[in-house]
Amino acid sequence: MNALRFEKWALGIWTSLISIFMLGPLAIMFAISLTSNGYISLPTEGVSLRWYADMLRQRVFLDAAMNSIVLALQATLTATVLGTLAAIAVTRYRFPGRGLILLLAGAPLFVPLVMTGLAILIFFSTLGIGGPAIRLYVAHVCLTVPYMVRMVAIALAGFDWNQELAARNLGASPLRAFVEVTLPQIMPGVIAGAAFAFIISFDDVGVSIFVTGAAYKTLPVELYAFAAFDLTPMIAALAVTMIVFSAVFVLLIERFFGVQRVLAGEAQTAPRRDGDG
Amino acid sequence: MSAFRRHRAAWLLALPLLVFLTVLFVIPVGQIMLLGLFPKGEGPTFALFEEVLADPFYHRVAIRTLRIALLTTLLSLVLAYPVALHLRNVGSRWQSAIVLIMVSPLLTSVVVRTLAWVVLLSNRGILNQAFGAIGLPPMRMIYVEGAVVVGLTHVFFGYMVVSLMTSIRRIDENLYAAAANLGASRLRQHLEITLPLSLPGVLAGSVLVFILAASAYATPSLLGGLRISMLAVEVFNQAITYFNWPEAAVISTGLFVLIAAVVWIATRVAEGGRRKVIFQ
Amino acid sequence: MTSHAQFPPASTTDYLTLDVVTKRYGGKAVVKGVSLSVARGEVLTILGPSGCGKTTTLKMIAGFLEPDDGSVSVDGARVDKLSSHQRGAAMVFQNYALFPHMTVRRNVAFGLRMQRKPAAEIAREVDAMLARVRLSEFAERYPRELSGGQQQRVALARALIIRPKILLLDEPFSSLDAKLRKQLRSEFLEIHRNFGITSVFVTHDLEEAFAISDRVAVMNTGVLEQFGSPTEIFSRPRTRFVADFVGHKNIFTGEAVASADGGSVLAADGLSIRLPAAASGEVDVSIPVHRVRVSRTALDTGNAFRGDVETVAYLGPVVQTTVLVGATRIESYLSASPELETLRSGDKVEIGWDVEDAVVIPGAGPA
Repeated sequence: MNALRFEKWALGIWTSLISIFMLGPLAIMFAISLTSNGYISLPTEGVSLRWYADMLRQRVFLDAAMNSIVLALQATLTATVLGTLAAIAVTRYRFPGRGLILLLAGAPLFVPLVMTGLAILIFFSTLGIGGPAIRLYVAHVCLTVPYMVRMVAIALAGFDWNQELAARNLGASPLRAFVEVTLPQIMPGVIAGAAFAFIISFDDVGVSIFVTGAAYKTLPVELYAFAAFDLTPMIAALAVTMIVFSAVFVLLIERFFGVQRVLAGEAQTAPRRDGDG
Repeated sequence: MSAFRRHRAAWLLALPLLVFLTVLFVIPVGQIMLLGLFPKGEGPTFALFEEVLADPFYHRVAIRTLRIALLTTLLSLVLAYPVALHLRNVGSRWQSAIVLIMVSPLLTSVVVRTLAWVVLLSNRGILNQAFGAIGLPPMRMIYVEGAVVVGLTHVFFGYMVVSLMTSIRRIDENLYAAAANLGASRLRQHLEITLPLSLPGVLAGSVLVFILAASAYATPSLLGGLRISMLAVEVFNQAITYFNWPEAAVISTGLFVLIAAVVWIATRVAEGGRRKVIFQ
Repeated sequence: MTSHAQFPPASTTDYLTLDVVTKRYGGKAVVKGVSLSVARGEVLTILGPSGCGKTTTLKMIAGFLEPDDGSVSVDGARVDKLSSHQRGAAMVFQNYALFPHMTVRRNVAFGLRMQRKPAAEIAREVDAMLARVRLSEFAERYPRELSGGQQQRVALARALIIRPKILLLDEPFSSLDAKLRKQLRSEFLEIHRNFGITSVFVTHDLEEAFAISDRVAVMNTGVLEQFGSPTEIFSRPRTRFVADFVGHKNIFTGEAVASADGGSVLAADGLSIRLPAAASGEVDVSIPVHRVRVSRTALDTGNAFRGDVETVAYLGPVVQTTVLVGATRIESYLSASPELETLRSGDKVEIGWDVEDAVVIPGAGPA
């Protein structure tokens, strides 16, 4: 009995330490963003929001942030439509080619990000079409669509398709049956998937850095370039802002679907490739 | 054709995705795999592959990539296992909260979380400032392999926890009571029950973390600097810095094959051919 | 009466007719030339094991599938080219397929909304329907908040409100426990009486089929084995499959030879069994378990054999026994009696039945 008690305590303490390891760096980032000193340091001389004010004066970052948001919205919307339709196809029907579609839908997760980025860069260059905006859009759809398929497929698992037949039997058109009966029930999955897709797109560096161009940079790419040679507390302020921005979407996922469910379902098939970009 | 007609609805639904990914993902990836075989528009020739394979620099980078990925996998496994065990002891609220903490680095941008480590570990960073304050000499903690391993572990830890948790949660609590009833100590219970029954989760999590760590780009380039290069970083250097696309294509193909080979071997060895555990 | 009085009264003319209907999947026929009919206001049950084609047949009536051959008619008009809702065949699904994100009221109103009726009219009709199926107080609940019986009534109300010509039910009770099944069965019968609607019911449960149907169609591997009233099906099975499926235990297969008295004698399993009618060649004969008699003393039945009791089980009002006559096992269900209470495994007994009780099964294979 005592051994069990000890085990529970030890595991609790261990988990607390790991939690510090997980959150510590992010917390320190937050602290640094509030420093009044002119260099990277904890706010030993007092707390100030000067670096946040400074951040808001940086046109480069504001433009990049705008690019990132627009790009993430475009990619998420596309991935949501493509992914939801494909997820319905593979959950509702058993047909020759279903395995192929599942394989294809998961493929971008199994190819290293740098390879995807390089491939899309070279593809468009060889064809001689498109600028960085279109390349980024294509790359981000490839990156996000696998999650969308998965999430909607999870939401549809166990769905009673007879409901659609019942609606048809009562006089609904196929579209009406989908909109009135199926869609409302998979909405949590679609919203969570879209939120997840948005975060992935908004945060991505690994693929973006290949396909970006001088005229069109995303926020993480800009931040990455900046951080490599000029680390200031302003960068910390920007990083904290990005964390808060992502957190909104994470809470959206948690609310509608459960982060645990998203990752657990996902862990069985595929990693989140943004991971380290 | 009749097969298509009979399954028309399914195909029509999947068609947009099928076309998009085939044209804009499969063909481009196929193209760069071929690019290495036709480096100057002629071939096919393995000349470029042979050149890269013979280059001692790439040997070092490939071995370092494998070493860092393996160390990251091991460190994540050892650190995450107790956390996954702990998750079984707490209520569902705490469980959600802890999982959220563990995956928080995953859900923030790679640049942001890597910058946090740069800030902590750099030569005049927060840790060295703290050492200075208590009279210790500054330590070199950045641009070493350890920094890369720690940074990667921090990021991918969440996957390991969730994979382990998924299989540990399936273990029937009555098995422990049965084992205790037959005289097994708590340690023996873990060795005889928890460990073997959690192996699918261990395998799934390890493979996942390995794949991610081996193909990481941003973390090694920020925390490893120029000295601790990995294959993904070399792909970027060749493609963007030196504008040498054929060589970048060859390295990225090599990286892909290397990862696939290790994953294949690991799953064969661990599961006796039952790869399903990971790839369903 | 309410506006639903227009449901046609029961009559003996056939209302729904299937004429040699066939359905193939990839060249393989899953329903082979099935012909069925049901009169206005009656309940027809399609009975058979899983994979026998009964649900496919129902889906062709519902309009979810189109027959490859043959026709489906309702009230004299062919409907097999019409879409599901045009043919007036409303379906109650397995597990009901209620819309979980809609209240009871919205579930029931769904069909009327699809007809674009004015909101006030929909509200009035839904209220009337809910009152009729005793669900008025549950109108604002969600399906998951209802009991199994209430869910069934919602499913029936949702189907009936569009005033269908035919009601189709696809194994609505199959996932429930035995007690609830019986309760829901009587609820269904009550609503059926109340609305008098022609219904087609699909099940694999024999007792259910017999309890609710006017006509029963037994299907196996896509073929209609027998079509008739429940009593016909049980007492005069036309094929060996039907006999087995409806629970006949003592089935003898052998060579029959006509005898002088107008009957015949079957030689099967080393026994010589007298049959009531003339028969010759290879036939299957069934002796219903409740016709078999067992006694310690000699029997005056037309067929009587000496045997050894193998098993005895006392099941309250009946006693189930198996008796071995040579190597042949004969099963019986007997009313409990003081004599039977003393029966033990290994006892020597006389076992027999009247000549008239033997049922000759006409078709050796599929009819």
